[in-house]
Amino acid sequence: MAYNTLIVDDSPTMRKVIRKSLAISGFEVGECWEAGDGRQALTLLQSHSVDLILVDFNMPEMNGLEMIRELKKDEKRRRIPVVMITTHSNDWVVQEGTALGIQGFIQKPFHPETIRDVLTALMEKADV
Amino acid sequence: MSEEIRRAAIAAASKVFEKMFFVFAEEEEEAAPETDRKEERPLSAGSPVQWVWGEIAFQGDFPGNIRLTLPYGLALTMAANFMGLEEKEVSEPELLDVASELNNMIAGNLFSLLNKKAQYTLTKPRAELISEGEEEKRRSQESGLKIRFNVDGQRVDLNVHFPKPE
Repeated sequence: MAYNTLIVDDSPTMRKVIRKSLAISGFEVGECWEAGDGRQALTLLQSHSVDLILVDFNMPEMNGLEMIRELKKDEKRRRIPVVMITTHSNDWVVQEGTALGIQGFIQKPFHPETIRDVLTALMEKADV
Repeated sequence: MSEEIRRAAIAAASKVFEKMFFVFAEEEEEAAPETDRKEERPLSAGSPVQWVWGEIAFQGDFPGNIRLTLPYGLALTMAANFMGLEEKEVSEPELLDVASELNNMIAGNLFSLLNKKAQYTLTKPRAELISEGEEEKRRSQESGLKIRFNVDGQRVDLNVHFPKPE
């Protein structure tokens, strides 16, 4: 099964690298969209059918945690699985993210295999 | 504390260089290797670009910043490795974005190693191309913890500033 995926990161090169890593890893991606911050991502989610969100923490305008907090208020989209890919792996980010319903955390730098393993396990559980 | 920060910064930078950019960093204690200057690109003012300089600041339990300076040619190689492109395919905005992301990753990993419980936020990283003269000037003005690496035979300087260490 291929999953429609939204990549949210303020670095355009990191978004490209995540896309490539997904392709290399063998994780099946259907449509793939990109957003440069949380606010753009929430707007994009209104008009696209997304199965999975990969989000950075540190972004201008609206950071990853703020974006997921808003997403969880949206009854239609609050169950979309979310994985945070970030340099921030300190306890408070993970604790706050987990409390918000973020199901996976991947620290940068990462190997494509790590992305595949985390996403495959998550999507099998989510059964989108 | 400064030795702990030094060790953590070396470990964080080495991990990021190797895992995401496919180059190897060794701490350089003595004289730095000569920088490969074959890769130069004219600045708009006409002086040659020889260095890529980047900075990211952090706020919270450990306010401060890190600054990284690396030769243009090495930055280009690393950007190409990071993006899976040929060096000639890397644009200047991409090169600067990659340099910013490099600083971002080193800062995040540094905090993970120093104190997993630290509450902090990172500012938006910035990067720019600078000339040889500007690099020398900025290097002479640095006052923080200075760490020099040999990365694939080229000099890379990492400066860590924790104005109020614990």
